[in-house]
Order: sequence, then C-alpha cells, then structure tokens
Amino acid sequence: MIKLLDEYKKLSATTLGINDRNLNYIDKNSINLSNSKIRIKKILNKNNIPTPKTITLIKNLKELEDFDFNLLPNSFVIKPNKGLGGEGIIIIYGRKKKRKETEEDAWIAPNKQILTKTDLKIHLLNIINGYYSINKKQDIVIFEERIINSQFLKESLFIKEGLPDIRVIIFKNFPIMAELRIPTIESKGKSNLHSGGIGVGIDIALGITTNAIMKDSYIETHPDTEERLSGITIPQWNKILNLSIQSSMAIKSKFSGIDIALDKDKGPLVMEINARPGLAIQIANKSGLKERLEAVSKLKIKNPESAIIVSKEIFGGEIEEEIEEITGKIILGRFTKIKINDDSEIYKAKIDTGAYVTSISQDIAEKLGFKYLIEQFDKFGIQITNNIGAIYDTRDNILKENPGLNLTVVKSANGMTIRPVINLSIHFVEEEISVETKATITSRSHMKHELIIGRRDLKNFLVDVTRNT
Amino acid sequence: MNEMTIFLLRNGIQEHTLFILLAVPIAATIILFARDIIGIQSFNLYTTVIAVLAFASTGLFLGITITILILIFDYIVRYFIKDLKLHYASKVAIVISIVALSIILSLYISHSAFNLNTHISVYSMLILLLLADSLSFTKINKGNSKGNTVYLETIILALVTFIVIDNSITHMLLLKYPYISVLAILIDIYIGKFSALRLREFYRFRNISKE
Repeated sequence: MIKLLDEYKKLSATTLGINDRNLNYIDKNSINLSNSKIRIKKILNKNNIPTPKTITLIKNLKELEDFDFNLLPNSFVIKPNKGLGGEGIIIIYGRKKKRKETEEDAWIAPNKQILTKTDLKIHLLNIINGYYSINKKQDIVIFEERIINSQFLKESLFIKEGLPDIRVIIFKNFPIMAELRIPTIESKGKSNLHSGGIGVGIDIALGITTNAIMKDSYIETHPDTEERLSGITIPQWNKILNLSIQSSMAIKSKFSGIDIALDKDKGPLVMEINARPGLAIQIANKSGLKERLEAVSKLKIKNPESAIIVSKEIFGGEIEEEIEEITGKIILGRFTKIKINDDSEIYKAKIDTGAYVTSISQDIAEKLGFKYLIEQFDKFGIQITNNIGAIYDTRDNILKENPGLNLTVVKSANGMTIRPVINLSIHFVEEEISVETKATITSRSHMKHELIIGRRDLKNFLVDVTRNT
Repeated sequence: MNEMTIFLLRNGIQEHTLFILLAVPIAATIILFARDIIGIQSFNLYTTVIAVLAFASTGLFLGITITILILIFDYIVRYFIKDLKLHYASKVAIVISIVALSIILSLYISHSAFNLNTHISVYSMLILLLLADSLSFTKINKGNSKGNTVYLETIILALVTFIVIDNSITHMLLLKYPYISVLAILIDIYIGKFSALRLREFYRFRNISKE
C-alpha cells in the first residue's frame, strides 16, 4: 500500500494529468483562439505560416439553403469552426460517378462510405446548429482543400487513406514532446487518438519514431497495413519544429499542441492548434510531460532556432546516444541479405531500429535445426499476460527445471510472453560482415517479416530508412 | 434536531423537501470527487446530480428500469431510423417519446401483474428522460461506444451516490446537523485545487515510467 502511494506520488510529479493541465497549463489566450479555426488561420496566414486553403464557408441556415454543391472541387474536407478533437470532420475523396441522370449527387468518404447530398446536408445542418461546437452554440462550416499525403508517408507507412499528422506540444515556445498520429480504418481517416488513430512517439532530437500506441496500448505494427511503426525518420523535422514554434508565437500561446501535416507539394502545413492537447502522447513517448514542462519553465528563448537546440539537448532520447557510438562506415537499407550459421540459404532480413533484439520465425528456426527446442518449449504452454511479476516468475520456474534453456521475456501489443533464445552467427552477405548474436524465436502469429535484425546487432552500421536494400 | 430545521418543519415545509435541498451539496461533492479524483466519466455535473435526485424519488427499481429502457430504445430507434436520415433533434424527440410511452406500459405491467402500487412523482421520471438527450448528444459527438460508456458510468455513479445519501443514517444526520452540507462546499474547494493524477490516470500512465 505504501509502495503504491509512493509510486502514485512519483508518477504525479512527472506526468501531466487532466486536473493539472486544466488548472495550471491551459491559457485563456489559446483557448479563445483555438475555439475558432477561422481566426487561427487568419493569424497564421498573416505571419506567413502555411495552412490548408479554405474553399468556402457556410455561415448560417440561409447560406446552406442557397449552397451550390456543384461549386465544390472533387475532393475536400468539411470541418466545424468550433469543433473539438476532430469531431464533425468529414474527409471527401471524390465525387461518385452517377449511373443514371436522376440519381442523387453523392461523394466518397473514408472506408468507401458513400454520402449522398442529403447525408451531407444533414451533417452541415448539425454543424451549423452547433452539435459539434464547443459551446453548443451556432457554428460555421469550413470547406477546406484536402491535403495529399507526401510521398514519404505513402512509402514508409503504406497509408492509402487518411492523413497522418505530427503533433508537437509547445510550452513557452519550446518544443516539449512530439508524436506522429496515423489514421486507421477504425478512425475513419482521422488521426485523433480517441477516434482510434495511432500515436507514435518521436525523439525530439532526431525526428525518429519510437513507441506506437493505439487506444493506450502499445502496438508494434499498423493494424491495417502491418507495417512497422518505430524507427521512421520524419522528413523536414527541423522545419516542422520551427513551424510549431512560429505558430505558438503568432497566437501568443503559452501551452498548446500544434498539428502539422505534410503535403505532397507544399510540404509542412499547420492544420490545427489545440489549447487542450490530449495526454496519451506521454504513453507514446514513454515519458511524462510534467517533468519536461518544468524543465523549461524558467528558460526564455530569443528565436525558434535556439529553442530547437535547447529542446533537442534536453529531451533527446536514447537513440541519439547510440548513433553517436556508431563509427558509421557501412550503411544498410530497410532490408538486407543474410546467411545464418552454416546454412547456405540466403534470407531477406528486415533492418529494424525500433526493435532491440534480433528475432527469427519458427519456420526458419526449424530449418536451422532447432525443431527439438521449439517442441520442448511448446510443452510449457505459456500464456500471454500483462502481469510483469507473474511472467518473470514463470520464466524463473522453467529455468530452474530446465537449466540448459535460454529464455527471454518479450513485450508485444497483446502483452508479455516468454520466447526461447538461440545463439546465431549472422553473415551480412553484401556487406561481408559476420555478427555473433542471440536471437529470439518469434511465435507463429502473423508476423510480416520472418527475420528482423534489431538495434543490438546494428552497432557497426548506419541505417538509411529511405533505402530499400 | 437543529433549531432552524424545527422552525421550517413547523411552518409547513415538508421534511422530504428539506432533506433533498440539504442532500444536493453532498451529492455534488460525491460526484465531483468521483470525476476529478477517481476519474469517472459522467455527463455534466448538473445532469448527474439531478439523476441522483430523480432516483431518490422513483426508487431503485423504477429508476434502473427507466435508465435501461432509455439505453435499449435509443439503440432500437437509432437502428430503425438510420435510413430515414433525420437530424439530431428529431432523433432525440423520438427516443424520448417512445421511452415515455413505454414507462406507461411498465407501470401497467407492475400494477396488473405484480399488483405493485407505485406512487411516483412524474417529474422525477421526466428528469430521467433528460438522460436520453445527453446520451444522444454524446453519441453524435464522440461515437456510439463512448456514448454508452459515459451513460453507464453516469448511471452507476448516480446510483452509488443515491445509496450513500438515501438511507436513514444520512437522513437523520443531515436533518440534525444541516451544517454538514456547508462542509461539503469546503471539500469542493479542496477538490478544485487538486492537481495530482486522477486514480484512473494513475492506472493509465503507470507503464510510462516502467522499462
């Protein structure tokens, strides 16, 4: 009990909760502004900060009655001016082709959902009536151009639908914490975490993604594409940080979350500014906001550039230290060819800076002659659990009875489990380098890559994630 | 009994009215505590407080029946009028109407089949109908599952608060020492200054520091 109280006190000192955020960090200035997307946009544009273009507005019921839907471009986004947390936003990808002349006009929304003119009109009416508005009062509809995802996001995430964005928390004009927010089928193209989007922590110093979460639980791959979420390098990272700071300065905000999307042609655009940024970003970064806020609370900056330098220095994570250790002569892409032990077969391995240890699939392990080990291991019938204590106890008990075994506890999206570890000698074929290592044998679940080389075995390499081989 | 209480009772104020008024600050404090310190999600404070007061009048059985009816009919109405494409207000109107009519039916059943004599103030039932509006509003704004969760947490919170308040001990204490209600306001101030993690957040963020 006392131990629990201690943990609570410690966590409260480092982590930002809703009470603390609302009481001590939300400032009136950004609340007033962030309740009107139109006003924020005006200020940002005056300060030469790029934002998505507004197509048109509908200010009242009369304007809705007279609204000519034919004037809209094929793809666009509908937003309520005073909306909160992505509610009421609809993304339209295109017009539906009419089969008959008499058919009603219709548009295509995320997940191939068809919205007719009547559907849209009801939604617009609901926005104007203030059902999405923060103060439940009459609101304005904004039609905005749809951002086309940059090539980078398409390639590194295989995102087909929806617009990922980068959220940067700014406090006293310092970038404090950042995350990449990725839409899923469940979130209907929106990147908001509580709609079912994915949040991936970003190392402030490097702009490389770290841990991913969905609905507050850690995941390793995107549920729709099965693409790995850690180790992605965000392009134009400094420009993104710079834009966030400039935005915060422009609206004279003390504490806010700046959302930035990467457009194919226009580069980083400021999408939105939130006065009450969500707190799950702390889970994705495995780091508390409170201690970071306090770290800069007495500092003052002169310009965005020096703020970036200071923040990178204070908040840069472990990845940086590892990279400094690298002497860096050989560069690997996202995949490479390897040989294992004395086996003559050449395997394609995924280079994964997000994983610490190397892992191989059961199928490959069987080919290498570890079938007996897997069979022996399967007899233990280990379940996935979230109980840290129990899983380590189970491992210790098994090791006591089977002293020859080598086992490790691994964490995955579903919880923790135990996997066998084997000694391997990996030979990088093209790089002509051999590494002696220990690898875990992954379970027969739907792993996309059969062979993953983790950070521990990449000490002699630099990884270029934009390169495929 | 307190002098003022006796004075009011002698001058024709009903004991129940007095009790309800004294119970409001206590209910508000309990709900405030549950929201800001434990982290229960509920509709706004006012809606939750009057739900407690409605329970105090309908009693547990009818109160729970009505709240479940609202949830079921909200679901059914949503399902059947999905293709009609109505806007928000008319959906709520339909849900409220159907629940109101179904209460008549459940009263009829409880009278004829179980011979239960239920004397309930009609206003308390109408207050519970307000929950249908909050439910619909949350659903349109934050999605169906979130709407259902917040609704259920509101009902459970209101029920627990009701049980704490509506018993002979609390009843006796409040009428004897009405100043307890003033004390509740002091606790409200303390909770208003509370800036540590809510218990639910403690559970949610616990894994951050472990590694």
